[in-house]
Amino acid sequence: MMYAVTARRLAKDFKIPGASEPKRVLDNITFSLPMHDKIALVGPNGSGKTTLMKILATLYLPDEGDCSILGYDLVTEEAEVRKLISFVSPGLDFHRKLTLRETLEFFARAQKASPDPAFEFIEIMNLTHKLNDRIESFSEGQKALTRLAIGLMKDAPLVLLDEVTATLDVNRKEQVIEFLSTYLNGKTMIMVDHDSQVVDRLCERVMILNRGGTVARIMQAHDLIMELPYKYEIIMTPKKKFKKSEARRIWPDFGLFGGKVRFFAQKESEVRGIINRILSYGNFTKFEVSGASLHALSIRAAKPSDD
Amino acid sequence: MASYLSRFPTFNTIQNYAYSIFTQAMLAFLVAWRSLKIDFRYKFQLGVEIGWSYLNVIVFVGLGAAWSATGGDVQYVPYDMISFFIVGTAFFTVFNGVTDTTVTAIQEESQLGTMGFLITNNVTPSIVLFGRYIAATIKWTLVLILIVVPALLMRGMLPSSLELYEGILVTFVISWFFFAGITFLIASVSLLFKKTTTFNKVSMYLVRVIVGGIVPIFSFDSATQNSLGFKLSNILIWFPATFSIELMRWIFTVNSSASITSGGISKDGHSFSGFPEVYGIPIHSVGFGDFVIQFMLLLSFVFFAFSWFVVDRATRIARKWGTLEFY
Repeated sequence: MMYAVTARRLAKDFKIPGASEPKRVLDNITFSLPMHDKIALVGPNGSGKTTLMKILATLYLPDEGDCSILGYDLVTEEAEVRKLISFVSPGLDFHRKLTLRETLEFFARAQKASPDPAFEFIEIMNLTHKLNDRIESFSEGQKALTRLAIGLMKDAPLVLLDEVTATLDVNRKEQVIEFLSTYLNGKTMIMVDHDSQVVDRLCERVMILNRGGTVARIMQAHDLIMELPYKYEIIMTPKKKFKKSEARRIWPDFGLFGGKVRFFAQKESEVRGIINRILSYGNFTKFEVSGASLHALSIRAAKPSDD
Repeated sequence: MASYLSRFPTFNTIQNYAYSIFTQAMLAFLVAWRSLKIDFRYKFQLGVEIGWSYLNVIVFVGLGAAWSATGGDVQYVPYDMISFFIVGTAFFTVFNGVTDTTVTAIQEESQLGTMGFLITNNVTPSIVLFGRYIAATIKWTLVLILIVVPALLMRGMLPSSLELYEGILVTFVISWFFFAGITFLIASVSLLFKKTTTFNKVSMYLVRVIVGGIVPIFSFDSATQNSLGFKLSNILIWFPATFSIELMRWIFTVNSSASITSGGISKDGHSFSGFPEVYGIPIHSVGFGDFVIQFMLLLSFVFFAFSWFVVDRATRIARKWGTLEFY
């Protein structure tokens, strides 16, 4: 079988100010990713998902182990690896004084690629009217789409997507999932995303990382989703302090955190019912619906000793 | 014979190498063009920088006037202390500004995550730095023309012959490569550590002192001659930036290019020995054909190449430490 990524015993340490020993954030990461496979990295905060992505993107050097990407060694043949990968990171921000068009054209030239795929994506996302606007007028969601547009330019066989849908609203997220499900045909993809709907629709497999940066399990994405006790989350922000009894009247399966209430549902009909009750309750500033978060499940799936 | 020939690079290798240099140069110009657009859109910041430069000229000319009034003009040289400070301020308006702008911009690129993204696309920090350095040079040269040229005109200090303009170009090129080296070294530190603003300022301050931007390099000559047996300026002048700024002061002050070599009378009536007499450097002209000029150019370029290498090494360490981007 041809593998797009083969990692063996990868490890990464970071110096922590004030600490005598460096902190190991990834340890003994071993996996193989077949060509055209799509896998999601999930795990609790501090499990090293983004660090692993940055190592695969050649941004960080691993301290131990070895890894080959599409037949090239990640460390000794990094220049070749970089021609074959496209990394979309939430850490990429833009110069506020440049327009969207100028930004896209700069990144196209820097990648020695055509900006056309990005312009097409921008058109699909109905952002063409923003092309001559400066980035300073963009919302976080629009910046996320700009990042993705830049990542599409290179038409790379290996795509690394780090939380690309995290700041998108429901409609945009749906548009992006639709687009990516076609775009990623014939490509290999590794993504970090907490939304089970995104992972379920875009990935075949899931790699669960423990806190401390070791691989807990690699499993089929669908099996993981089936393990979830709920499929949807409705997060509501009430105008005033919310009592448990009030929440229970809306829907019995809920959780309170911070100033917000999370309602959990299994079916779409339940979601509709919850939304209707929230609307009748009325005393809220906003609510949003998303797929169930993989975050909680990944914590459960990780080794108990690591938590 | 065949094995001997195989040591030489093939035509294809040379062609690939040339293509690689060409694409890297294009990338540097791409970064430069983008940086210029950004710089000129921050109008308030640009206004502050121009104002700051005006203030510098006024303060240092005042300092020079005060120095001259107390009989502080220095022996051997054709310029008074006002001329000393005007040229020094002009020089550092450009090169301090260029260094500062470039290093700050690199830190901004790291914070924005652009640096990380570019690296994953085979655009190295050295290329980004170089592009930013080109843009900053253009910006600060325009600021210089706006501010210092009027001051030079008012003092009647513009070069008196066309040959001397070639001298200005020569000294600018030497300094440009030299300060590119300084900028790259400072930037390499900022790739490794997060807060380097004070380090940047201290480094540039030290350079300014060593190259004679604040105190004339021959101020301590008699002291070092008496105690150590040599003139300090005769050593410092071999430092490319010191050589450039000093030669530039002569160029702006002398009546003709011949005066630099053989001595004569300066524009404001100072009687002086020639540049070689004062510094012991066998300079015959101020053009690219002079051996000393060629030597200084080579020295600056080698220093710049070394600094480029240091940035590449620092990039690798930053990838190991995870300090390349810090958003």
